Formats: sequence, structure tokens, C-alpha cells
Amino acid sequence: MYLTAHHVASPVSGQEGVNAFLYLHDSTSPLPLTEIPEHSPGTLVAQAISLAPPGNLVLSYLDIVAPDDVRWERVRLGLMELVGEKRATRMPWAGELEGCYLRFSMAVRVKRQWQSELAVLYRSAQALHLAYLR
Amino acid sequence: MSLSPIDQYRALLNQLLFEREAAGGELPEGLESHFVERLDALWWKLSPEEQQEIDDELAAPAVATQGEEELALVDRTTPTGSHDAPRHRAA
Repeated sequence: MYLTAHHVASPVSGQEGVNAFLYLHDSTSPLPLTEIPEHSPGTLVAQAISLAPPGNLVLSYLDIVAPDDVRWERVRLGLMELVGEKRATRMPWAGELEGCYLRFSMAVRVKRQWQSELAVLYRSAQALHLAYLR
Repeated sequence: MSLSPIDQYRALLNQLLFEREAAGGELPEGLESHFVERLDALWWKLSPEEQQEIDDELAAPAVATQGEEELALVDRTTPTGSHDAPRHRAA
């Protein structure tokens, strides 16, 4: 599973939104988890769009690569571990934790504190995941 | 590997702030109290210098020093069934 949430802004209108995308894989990808987002995202099965692509600037993103049947608790715990490990380092923050590959980054122009930005992306990703599984 | 008290404090504070935001801005009273009790207990294990270090970190504009200047990423249209990633490097 590749689940990602983007905070995006239109370069034309300046309007902002948060979009989320859920991809599944028919079988285990031979690629390392770290390669999934760019090289083998899987098949897009659901998306939640608040500002329609294409051409929006991505201001921040949260990537979650995990088994399709992952328990959400593991994602949450992994994210906490990632934050604990990487907080003092430059973004992007990325790591393989709790069997998931997690990556978060944001541009300095985002006015929110990183905790708020990450929480917004996390909620959006979680909502799409829950909605699809329901 | 066990974390030092100051790193435990940072990790717990991050968890509290994140959990609070993820819950929509407010945690149930019991959970919030649980975090605060643990933070208090850790606080008194810190030296005065470490306490000052934490205070300075909380007062600093964290985002400006941690975010990337620009992500240089742009989103793309991805219809359901697509195998394309939803963003790519800006040209």
C-alpha cells in the first residue's frame, strides 16, 4: 500500500487544499519500500481531492508505504518513532519503522508548526484509508 | 538504546503535540493529564541547563530551521486505476 497526503497550493489563485491518494499492490513489490513512492506506487484505488490537480505546488507531503493489511496503530507508532528520531534533523524525515516506510517534508513557507502540518496530513491520509476499508 | 531524560522529554512532548493536533486540537482530559504527568516527572530529572534548553527550543520558530526551502514538486491528475505517482518534480 502506498498512501500519501499532499498540502497543495494553486500557483494561479493561491488557493490551498489537502489531497490524499491510496494505491494498492496486487502482490509484494520486489522493490525496497523506499522505492515505492517514485517507482512503483501501485494501482490508485481511492483519492480524496480538495484542490483539483494538475499543476498545484506541493507544500508538504506525508508518504506511508506499508502492507495492504497494515493495522493503523503501526502507522501511528511508526510516525511517532520517526518524529522522535528525526526531529532535530533537516527534512525530509524518512525511515523504515514498524514495518512501514514513512516520509514527511514541508516547505519553509508553510506557516504552521510542523506538528500541525503533519497532523493535518495524517488525518487526511487516515480518513481516506478508513473510508476505503469501510 | 535508552534515551536520555532530555530526549525522552522531547519525544514525549512531540507525541503530545502531534496527538493533540491529530485529535482536532484537543485530547480527552484523562489522556492529556497522563501526558502532563509524565512530562512533569521527566522535567524534574533535567538539569537547570537542560530545562533552559527545552524552554529555548519551545520559544524558537522551529519550522524556519527545519523545512526545506522549496519542495519543487507539482501534483498531477491521476484517475482511479492509474499507476502514476500523484506528484512529480517541477520542470
